Amino acid sequence: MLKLGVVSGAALCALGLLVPSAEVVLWAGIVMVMVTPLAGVVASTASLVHERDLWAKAGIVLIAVIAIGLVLSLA
Amino acid sequence: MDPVLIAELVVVGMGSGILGALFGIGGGIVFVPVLTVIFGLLAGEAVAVSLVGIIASSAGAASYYVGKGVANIRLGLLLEITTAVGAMVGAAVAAYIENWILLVIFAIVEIYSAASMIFVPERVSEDVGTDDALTFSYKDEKDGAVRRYRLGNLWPGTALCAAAGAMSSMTGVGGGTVKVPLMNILMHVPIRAASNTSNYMIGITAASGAIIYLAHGTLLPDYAAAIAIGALVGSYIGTRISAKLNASSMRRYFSVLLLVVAGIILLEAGGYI
Repeated sequence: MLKLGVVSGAALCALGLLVPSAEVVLWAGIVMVMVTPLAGVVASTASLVHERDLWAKAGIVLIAVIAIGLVLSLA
Repeated sequence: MDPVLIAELVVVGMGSGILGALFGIGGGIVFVPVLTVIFGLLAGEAVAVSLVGIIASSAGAASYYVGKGVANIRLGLLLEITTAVGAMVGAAVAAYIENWILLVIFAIVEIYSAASMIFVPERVSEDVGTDDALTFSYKDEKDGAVRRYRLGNLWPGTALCAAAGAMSSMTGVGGGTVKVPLMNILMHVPIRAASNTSNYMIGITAASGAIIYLAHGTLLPDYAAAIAIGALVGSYIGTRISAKLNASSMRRYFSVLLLVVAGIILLEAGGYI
């Protein structure tokens, strides 16, 4: 997921830079790069939960901490 | 945007991406001064663009090493909890502390870490007996051997990551340069696993910060896109270089990097950059 997200995002960024009128594509690429690590956390946590891994709790707590932090910062 | 400017930004991104993939650092120590001094961005704009570059660099390297089991996702998720909390506290407290004091403290930590990595041998126990939740393994690309290690001082290390997060958010520098020595020296994680786990963590921290800058309208899309492309390419180059380094060389080069970072931080504290 990390590879797919960041490579896709970079490709959109490159397209957006090459075509000046395609600002939407540029922003889409940047946003895709930015959310990739957070999507990776969710995917990793889901996988650990599925495996009933003890470390899944860490992922769940981290998702909560990130969500709270973002809400507080953006409010 | 001028194609020459795009090319220059891509090259800057590549350089930082290589460093990030090799040593598990984000690259902010390169991005921010270069973007402000050479490209003339305001500090806030430079930090916002830097965060996107850091994400691309760390995600590129992490995607390679997570797949190979070198990056310890489980440990990364745990340590990132206290890092994130520390970063939030640090951001709130930073306004009350003189920036130069924070930078000097940070430089002292970097110098101490460098000295520890030079003079203290890596205390990774590979004779770990039976598996438990604290035992991990990965295949070393250098020689193909499977390396096993058992985490030590888990809770002290986790708590100290809060301090790393706070210092990083207060100074804008170097989460990785604190966390990699922390994992390697205190928590007994092999240097290769420590740097790649740090890579995984840095992307998460940077993503949270970048979203906030995006929401506040500080992000310059052209600069961010060019830096991200370069950082991603650089991260792939860095992973290939890293495969050829042995652990003792990595520790030695990382120590040198820490001393360079400390020097840059002290220059910044003195107002010279």
